[in-house]
Amino acid sequence: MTAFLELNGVSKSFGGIRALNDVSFTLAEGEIVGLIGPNGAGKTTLVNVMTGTSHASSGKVLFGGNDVTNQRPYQAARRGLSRTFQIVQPFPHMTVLENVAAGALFGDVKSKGDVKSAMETAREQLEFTGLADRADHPASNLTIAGRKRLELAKSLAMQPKVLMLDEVNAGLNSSEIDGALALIRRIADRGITILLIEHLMKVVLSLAHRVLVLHHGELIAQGTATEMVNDPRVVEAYLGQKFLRRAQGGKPHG
Amino acid sequence: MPASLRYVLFAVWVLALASTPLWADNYFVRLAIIIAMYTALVQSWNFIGGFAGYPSFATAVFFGLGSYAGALTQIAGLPSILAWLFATAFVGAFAALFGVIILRLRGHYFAIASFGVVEVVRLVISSWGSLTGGGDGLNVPLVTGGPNAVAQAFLAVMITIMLVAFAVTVAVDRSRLGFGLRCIQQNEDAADMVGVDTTRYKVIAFVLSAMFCGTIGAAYASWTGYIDPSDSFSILMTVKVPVMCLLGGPGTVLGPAVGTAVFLLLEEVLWSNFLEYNRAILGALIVLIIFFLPGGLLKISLHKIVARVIRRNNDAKGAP
Repeated sequence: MTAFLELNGVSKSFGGIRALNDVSFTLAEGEIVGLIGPNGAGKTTLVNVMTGTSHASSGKVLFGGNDVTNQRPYQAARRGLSRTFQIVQPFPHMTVLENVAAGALFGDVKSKGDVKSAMETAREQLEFTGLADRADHPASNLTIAGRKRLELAKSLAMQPKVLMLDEVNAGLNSSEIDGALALIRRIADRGITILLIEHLMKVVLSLAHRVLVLHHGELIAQGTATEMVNDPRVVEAYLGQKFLRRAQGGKPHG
Repeated sequence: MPASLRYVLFAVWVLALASTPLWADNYFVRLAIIIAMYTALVQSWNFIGGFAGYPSFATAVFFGLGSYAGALTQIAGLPSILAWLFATAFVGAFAALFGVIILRLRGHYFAIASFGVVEVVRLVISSWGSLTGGGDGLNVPLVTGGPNAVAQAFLAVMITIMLVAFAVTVAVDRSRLGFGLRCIQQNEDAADMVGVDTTRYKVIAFVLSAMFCGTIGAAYASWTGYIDPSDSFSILMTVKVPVMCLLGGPGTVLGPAVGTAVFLLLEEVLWSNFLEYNRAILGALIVLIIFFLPGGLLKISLHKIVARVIRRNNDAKGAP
């Protein structure tokens, strides 16, 4: 496996606050990698730095061998670095179909560039994500689960090489999560590299080949999901003792 | 109303304007020229203000610069049509230059900056007496011919500009550019994120919103034969144009034509019937219309009204 996306000593400061501190890791093509860590650990900032929403204060982001540290968001989108937002960002007065078509029209550099073929691509993505029956509804009418899927469909229409999913499963009930799990697996089957930012350990454990753990802006550990669950630093920083006992089959405390 | 019927009505309207010399006196011909001229100005504004959602108050600077560029090149000896085309290109280039700077601002900040450009350019033009004649204004070479022939010629010119602006609007509306501008209008950050080169798109929209104003300004200068800074860089124009667009339906293809026609006809009726209070009544009407029809006249849809009534009934039934 070759390094596809590489972060090299990336730091990001906002004023005096260091949101990211010397973060380095690589993603290989086709991998599903989980990114976990407590709230405020810098997970979303990390995605922002990788997609041009904000720029690293120091360090480098490399994609396919090119330095993309200072790219603008639209350039990231066209390169194939796509993301979904924790707080969904639809075009509110457009239909669901048009929202997804926007991704196909502008984000997919291989598209023909006309509105009609973008609409066709969008329809395929809506089928894939199970939103086809909502195609002509205004995007603002969707439920939270629907909007998350819309974000996903929009990102997929951009034909990404790397897809960063920022808590796409937050706020979903357990049957919706099972649906989302199956969906993410099918996306990975297309050969798309996935960075999964997630609080739900069930999702991370069942999907991720590898897990990165971020704490106070630093990458404190990385390894397979099982290794991470048993790593004392990760338990200390994020999972908590209760989780460990439960994972080991012990009785949960209290 | 189906789209095709709307286009038919628009065609009828254009024919009515174009045929005024055949069935009406000079007052109506003049009114038709003004309507065609403002329709083209409003269609221009629609690119940046309607499609891209950037509240521009720069119409008067484009119009004014166009009238001075046209007048000065005509005085220098250029034939009028070439002078108008020069004014179009000059104003387009000016908009590209300024757009790159002020389109970094959003919302109110952009509105104020565009307003500021009007004032700055007006002051420069009125102070630069050696070139522009300063506050005395400029006499533009008159088009030869009797008053009727001149009026008919300028009616044809203004309607042509209006139709070209309309054709460009239709093309933009259906293209990738129009789609991208709508994305920017609804959520600029999200547009950036799906791969829209927002800066480039906004500058294109700004240039489109400027070019035709330049042509119209130059043609207007030739029509009236005299321009001065306060007439060419009119604050009233810079405010009226967005209002007309909002009235008709910003970001739509036919909204500018509808809004301009309704506004100017209302204005005329009020002038002739309420000489003293016409501005006050017009102002109150504008406030009411914008308050109750935020999407413009074109967004009134019988279909939606019916749907709303049905929904209300259902809600009433569903309530415990």
